[in-house]
Amino acid sequence: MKLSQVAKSFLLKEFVSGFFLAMRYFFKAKPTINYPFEKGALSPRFRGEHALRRYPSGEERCIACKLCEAICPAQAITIEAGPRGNDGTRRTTRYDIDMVKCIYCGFCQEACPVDAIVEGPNFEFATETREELYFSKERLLANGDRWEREIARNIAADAPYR
Amino acid sequence: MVPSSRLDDAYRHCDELVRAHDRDRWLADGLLPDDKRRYAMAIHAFSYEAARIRESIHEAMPGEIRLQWWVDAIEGEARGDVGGHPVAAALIDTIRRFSLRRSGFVNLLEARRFDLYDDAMPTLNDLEGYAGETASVLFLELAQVLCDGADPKVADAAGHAGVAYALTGLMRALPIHARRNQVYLPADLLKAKGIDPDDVRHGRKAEDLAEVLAGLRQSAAGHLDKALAALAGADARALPAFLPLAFVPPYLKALAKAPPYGPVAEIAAWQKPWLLWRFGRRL
Repeated sequence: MKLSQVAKSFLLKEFVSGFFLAMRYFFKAKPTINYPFEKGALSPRFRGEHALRRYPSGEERCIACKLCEAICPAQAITIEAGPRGNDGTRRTTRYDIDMVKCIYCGFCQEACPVDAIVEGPNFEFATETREELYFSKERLLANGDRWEREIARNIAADAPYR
Repeated sequence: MVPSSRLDDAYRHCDELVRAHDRDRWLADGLLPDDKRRYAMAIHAFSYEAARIRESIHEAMPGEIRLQWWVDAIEGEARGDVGGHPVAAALIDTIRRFSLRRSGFVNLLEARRFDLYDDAMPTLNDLEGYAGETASVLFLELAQVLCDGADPKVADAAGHAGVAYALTGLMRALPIHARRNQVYLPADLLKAKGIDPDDVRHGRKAEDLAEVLAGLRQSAAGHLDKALAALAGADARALPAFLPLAFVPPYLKALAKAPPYGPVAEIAAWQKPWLLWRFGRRL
């Protein structure tokens, strides 16, 4: 055994340095978060739960062009369109997304010429039954109303960096 | 046909888009006659919609789909309720009202297809062609709107004006484009200075690039002079369509001072209305 090793073990150097390391982390800010009440940062590009947006006037954005349905690689979107009222406009009468099939690739929002369908920042939509994951148009529009502020902010934040 | 109350909403939406995303043209449009302003907003909002496609996709395919949708919308056979898209509704109304050429807008969309891929611009000629199709058409069609659908006799001026304006814009956006792997600088000019397009994408060889940019700045200034000279024979009503050119000389000056990969060259916001007013008196 070398002399330096003897000195280290005699003076408990590893023990003392270990103690100080532990103390340093003891007083540092905690890296863990209290999850359901606190959340980590999300990228504005995050692709979570889908939403159908409206214009500020309250008008639905979706114009029933069915491009999202066409591009969806998982074939998770089903759309039926028909005339709405008697003002000559056509809108979707049915807009279903099977969230069990969806692979969250984001193609639907990228192909949408009116930015109607978007994948919002929400990732907390776990359900107890499979049926609850078949989203209808009402559910998607409600999501849009609920998340519009975050969605608009994310679109604006992300635009210059794509 | 879209009812007029919904058209008013559509034009208002265009105004908001241009105001938020294309501030220079929005300021210039503010000096147009009251009854023509909203049509200018429609044309410029359409330009913004086509330009931002690259920003909203991460693969070329959805971009192609969006571009094709716009082509179909302008040619009148798009899927879905085209009147429900405020910018499309406003643009189509403007095209009908002033019998603008649809082919100009379709060519703009075709040229924008270049944005979707990361190929370098091959030659200066191609770059001028791209600039002509994406920017000159806006001057030309707006001039026709200002002349109430009559021929404004500004085709030549619009061609040069578009190249000057677009070259300036592309040089300003160079840092952003380089980070996105896009190279709008002509590969033949880069090659003459021993620069590979990949060098631009990785932000290398800034000194050599500065020489290429100096050449392009001269070219832009030359096109601006030609545009102003060609405006001599134009219909006087069409002249305000060329107001955005007011920003070209100060931007070129700012670009000369800015490092190529540095922050985007800007002019102070308070100077812009003043520049527009002074340029408007010269026109």
